Amino acid sequence: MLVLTRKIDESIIIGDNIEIKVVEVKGDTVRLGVSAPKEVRIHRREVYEAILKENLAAAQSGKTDLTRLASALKNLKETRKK
Amino acid sequence: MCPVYHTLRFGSIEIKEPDSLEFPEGLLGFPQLKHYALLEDSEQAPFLWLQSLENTDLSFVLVDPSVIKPDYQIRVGKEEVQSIELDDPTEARVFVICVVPQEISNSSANLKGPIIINPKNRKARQIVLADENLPTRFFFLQDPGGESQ
Repeated sequence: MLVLTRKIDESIIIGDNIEIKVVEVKGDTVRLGVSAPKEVRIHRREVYEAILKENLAAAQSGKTDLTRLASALKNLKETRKK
Repeated sequence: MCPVYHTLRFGSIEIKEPDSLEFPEGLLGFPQLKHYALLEDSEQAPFLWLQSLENTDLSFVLVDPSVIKPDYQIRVGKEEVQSIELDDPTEARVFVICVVPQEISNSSANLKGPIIINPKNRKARQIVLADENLPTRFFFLQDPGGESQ
């Protein structure tokens, strides 16, 4: 990982069109501003990782009986109607 | 002639080109795999399979989120669906990926990372929603049908 030291209002540029700027520093919190083309996705790391983790868990669904799952859902809905 | 895929779960399946889905960016965690088929069976509705056509051992369970959470509504920015050329968001088909463990009652759906399909060009994308209240594990078979503890 490349580690650079920046002061408030200083930026780094990634590639030709992504800029990350230190907007504010308050205690142990840093506010970052990101300028990037609209189609570039930007996420807090933990959110991205949470989705990734769920995808990996879902890919291991193994021997899954979807018919049973569909029945379970149907039963639940019918129970709720009562 | 339809390409034939030898899958782990379904045996040999024939998928006509127009029925396959293309994920230009793949799925999170599977960026290299871009071609999938949506397999539906009326006995398993509302669940369906998203079967990889490049890794035949890989498949995902999908469900229409409105069936498990009727008030599920998402807002998607234009740039988020640019890669799938979706001009009219109302035309999109939305699905969420389910984790189905051995104990079926612990099944969950990822409401935070839905899959958006553009039916016009069969392109699809998994997006990450900004709404902090949306869980990655929505236990739809549990009362009150709520979020993870």
